Amino acid sequence: MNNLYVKIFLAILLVIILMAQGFWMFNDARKRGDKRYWLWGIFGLLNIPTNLIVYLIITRIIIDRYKKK
Amino acid sequence: MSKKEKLTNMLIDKYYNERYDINSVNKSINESIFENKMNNALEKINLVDNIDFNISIDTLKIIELANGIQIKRRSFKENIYFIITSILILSVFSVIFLNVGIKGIIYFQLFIVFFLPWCLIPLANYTLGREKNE
Repeated sequence: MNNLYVKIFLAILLVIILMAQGFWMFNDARKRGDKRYWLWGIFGLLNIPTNLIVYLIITRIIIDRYKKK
Repeated sequence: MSKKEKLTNMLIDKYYNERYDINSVNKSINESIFENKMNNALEKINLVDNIDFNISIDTLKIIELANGIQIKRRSFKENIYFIITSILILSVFSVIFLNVGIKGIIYFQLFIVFFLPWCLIPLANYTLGREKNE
């Protein structure tokens, strides 16, 4: 019974973290003027933290590098 | 021209000391009341004319402010839509995973962790390079 509560708590925590991550990615992509901000937001809902790292690599390193050129 | 319009024009001419048909001044009580009303209105118009509206309106700033408000409203709406969509997506995933079992979750996560970065990063590089060349 105790184990079940822990599982439910972890599931709720995971959902909250995923939503927070997706929401942050959605808002950040929109602020940066990315046209695909909805896709980034949904992408952020799928996994933690790999998708956030991928997003940061693409936006902060690759896109910024192309903007500077 | 109706009788009322004629009378109005005559009263305006009279008020501004312009030429008017003196014969048409054939006042009944109603006409004198109307004349008083007209004079009051004309005095108010003069008062407004004399006020110096020294207001410098920065149109560009107002437009920018309006745009800002519009963007804020739109982003608030989009945030709500996103939260609803994310709840829907996560519920669909949880239903699927409850049916498929823990193996399904592990395979799905492995696929995302190992394949998506290797697909997305080169894809982003390629699309940005192409956009730059165009």
